[in-house]
Amino acid sequence: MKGRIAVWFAVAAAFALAAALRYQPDWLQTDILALTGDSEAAPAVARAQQKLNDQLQRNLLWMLVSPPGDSARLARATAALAEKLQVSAAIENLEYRWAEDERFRNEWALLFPLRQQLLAPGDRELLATAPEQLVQRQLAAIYGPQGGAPDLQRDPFAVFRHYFTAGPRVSTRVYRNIPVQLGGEREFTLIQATAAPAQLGGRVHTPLLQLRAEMQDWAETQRLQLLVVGAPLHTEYAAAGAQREIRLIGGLSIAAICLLSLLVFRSVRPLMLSLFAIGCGIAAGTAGVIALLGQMHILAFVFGTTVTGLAIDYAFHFICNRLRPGDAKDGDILPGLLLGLLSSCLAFFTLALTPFPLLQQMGFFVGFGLLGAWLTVLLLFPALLRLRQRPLDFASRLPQGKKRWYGTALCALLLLGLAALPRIQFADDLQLFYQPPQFLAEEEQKLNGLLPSRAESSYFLVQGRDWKQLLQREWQLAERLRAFQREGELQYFQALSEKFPPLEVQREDWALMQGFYGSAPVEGFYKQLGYSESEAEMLIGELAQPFRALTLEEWLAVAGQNYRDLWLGCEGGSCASIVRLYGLGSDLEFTGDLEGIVLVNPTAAISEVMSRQRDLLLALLPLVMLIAFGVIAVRTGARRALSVIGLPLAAVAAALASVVLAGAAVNLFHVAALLLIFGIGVDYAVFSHLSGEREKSYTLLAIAMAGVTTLLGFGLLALSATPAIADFGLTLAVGTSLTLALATLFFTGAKVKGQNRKGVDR
Amino acid sequence: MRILFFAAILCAALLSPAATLASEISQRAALEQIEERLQKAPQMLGRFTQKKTLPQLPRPLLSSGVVALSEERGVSWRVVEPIASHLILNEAQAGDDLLAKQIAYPLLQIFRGNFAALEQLFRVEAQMLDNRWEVTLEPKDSALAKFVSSIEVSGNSSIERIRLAEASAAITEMQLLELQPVSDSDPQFTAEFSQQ
Repeated sequence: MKGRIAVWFAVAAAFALAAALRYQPDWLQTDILALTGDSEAAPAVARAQQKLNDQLQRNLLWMLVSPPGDSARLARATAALAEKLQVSAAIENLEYRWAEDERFRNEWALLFPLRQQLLAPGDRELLATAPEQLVQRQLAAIYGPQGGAPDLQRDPFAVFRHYFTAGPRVSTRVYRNIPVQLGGEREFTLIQATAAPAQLGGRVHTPLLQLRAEMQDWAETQRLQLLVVGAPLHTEYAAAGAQREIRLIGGLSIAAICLLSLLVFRSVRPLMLSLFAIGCGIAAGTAGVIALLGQMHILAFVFGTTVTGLAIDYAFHFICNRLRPGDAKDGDILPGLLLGLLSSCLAFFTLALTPFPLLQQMGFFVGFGLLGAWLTVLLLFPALLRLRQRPLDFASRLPQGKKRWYGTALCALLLLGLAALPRIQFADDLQLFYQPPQFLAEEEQKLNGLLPSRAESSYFLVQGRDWKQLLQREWQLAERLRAFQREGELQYFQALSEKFPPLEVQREDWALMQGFYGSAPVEGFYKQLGYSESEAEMLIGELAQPFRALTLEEWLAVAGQNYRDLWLGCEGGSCASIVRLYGLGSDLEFTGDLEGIVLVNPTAAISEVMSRQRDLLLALLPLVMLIAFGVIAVRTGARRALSVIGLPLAAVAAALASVVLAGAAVNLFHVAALLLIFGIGVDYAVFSHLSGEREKSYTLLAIAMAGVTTLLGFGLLALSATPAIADFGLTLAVGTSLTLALATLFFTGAKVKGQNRKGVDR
Repeated sequence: MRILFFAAILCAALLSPAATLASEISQRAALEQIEERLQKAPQMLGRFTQKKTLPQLPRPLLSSGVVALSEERGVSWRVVEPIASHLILNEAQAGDDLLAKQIAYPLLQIFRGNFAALEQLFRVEAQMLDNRWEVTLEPKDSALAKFVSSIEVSGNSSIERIRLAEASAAITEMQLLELQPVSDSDPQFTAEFSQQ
């Protein structure tokens, strides 16, 4: 006995040590996008997506809206709002003032000497096709009422000024250093904020959502409207939802377990031991995931915790067996426990072999969780369990049934599954993970209506062996995108090469300007302004600038944050950048004939990844069944193994049929549930088939208790607000009910067999 | 003596905010009078002459042409002499040139006689003379002061003269002549806005 306890402690220590070695404070993730990662995707795409996610993850946009003509008050209110946000612990820093003066000065200082080679796209086209129009444009500006006198000595055609200020077109006015923008019938100001990292403590708390509500109340008293958008709000909402669900679902299933076990065992000790076994299971699962993967998502934790509740099956079987009168006969159920563990663990560890984070995490979590709970039951229970024995014989009081009923039911359910197969439909969607609550979605829609310049989620990823090649490839892409712009398919795009073209292009532009400065219209321009011929010649002579080759790195050092964010850096002989798209009319018809350029559509990519996970799991299911069949057949022989495996197979087929017949499209989470139904079904089938005559009532009791608790746990998952979890829970609830019914049916038939062959049990 | 001294201090303390208040009230009243006096028609057509003095240039640039004001579509500024060029200023207009954009907005409000809107951006000083008025605008905001030093506007029943002094020392003086209300189907008026 002492030896077993020592082994338990040794195993526990090993788990703790393994986890401690790879422990990191942020092991529990909340970012929804982290789950959809695909370790099979190209590393550059993954890196780009990661960088974009990081940028998105903590960005919040606060928009203060007023009716027109109230700009000064709006600007004052914006400053007041910024002050309030600044002191909040939920906000790390914020930006709302007009440009970063110093950065602008540095950028101007570095680039102004390159004024002959850096052109705005519109000016480049004008210079190439109709340079005299550039002169006319400038004369119109000078003779116009607006002012804005050009630098006649150095940048007479304001070409560099255009280059420097080109960007998405918004009409902005500045009040007290705060830009006020016009959007339709409204004026608005923007505050860009970075949220403080999310705190996942024991309490469910939503600091940002609270801050948002408080500030919106405040804005209302100012007769202004406040709109807030950003990923942190969604993360917080989803995390709070998941935490509440863990608590509710976990709490209710624990309550059910307590009630059942107190009723049946009439003692607190078995209950405490069962809960301890589950606790050990969750601890072992968490330790296993941390040790092997380092991180786990809160969604996997919710799933996993519930599924690890299966661990109570082992405890129930052990305890029920101890109810039998006479000396403890723990050995009787050992084969059942071992087979049950082997088949379930096989099923779950198969999940861990898939390349997808959610499935991996769940697979390891549940696999190690079951192992931990199983070891706890086997190593600690014999020494710690004290129980008053109770003779039970309700198995013989079950309604009499025929053995073939079980077989008939199996066949009927399998046929139902087959019949449903032709109607099967598949669908996977990011919305399964998370559906934004309406109040956030509406706010986002309103904000987008006022501020059309928010980047699309699709983007181009450009790669090259060095920055020079990268810029050349980007430039080719930009030429295509400009064509899309002309056709009205695309409003605007943002690329490094738009502000810093490849050196070849800069050289061409330089030559273009050189030719332009020497042309007659330029001389005419100066003459028009009243200069004499010799004065004009002198001025023109001073315009020319030598070509200067700047490196991308030098430019990035002074470039705006929005451009620096596009650059992904170089790694392993490959550099990468992003081209962002704005105002995409429809899906771009982009054929991948440009080398080193891919169009990444994360939403579609996520759906695709999920579909691939689903297909992989569907393909794994028969394999897992085959392995389980093999393992069982070694112990029981092929014929009985077929009867055993028939139970989970029928339950899986019927559960799938129920999803299909209910008209739902089968998604990844349905399939994951099928795998679990199989695991549960194998457990029940193994126990019922291996149960000796005198154990029957006890086995049936244990199965019933396990079934009811599982059903409660999963039934509650079906109520989850996350569609993915709800689908999972509902399918499992159907499957578990069927499994339970089939096991009971087996007993009604087996009883006849048992009576006929009295005493020759097993 | 002491009492007198106290009384003087008291009066000064009481009167100085009252004096500013009084001047603000009179300013507001003057602006209202000006806006009342200005004939507001949804469409107006006239001519202009302009003298622009740029610090780098040897002599001022003189130009003249046709101006059209539309409530809906903004301001059309068509230069006929010495070169031909055409510009339309309006709210939606947001060219590449950030500098020009900052100045376009106040100009647009001035052409519309909408001085109240400018009080947010400028210190507005209005002066009523016998049969004309004068308004001087100076930027409140340092960001705007980087572009504009002051704007002076004067007129009677319509705006007659605008003088824009930029921070770069450039000075633009515009004279608006024969500004008359027209119907929105007036062929010349529609032509001014349909061009370009």
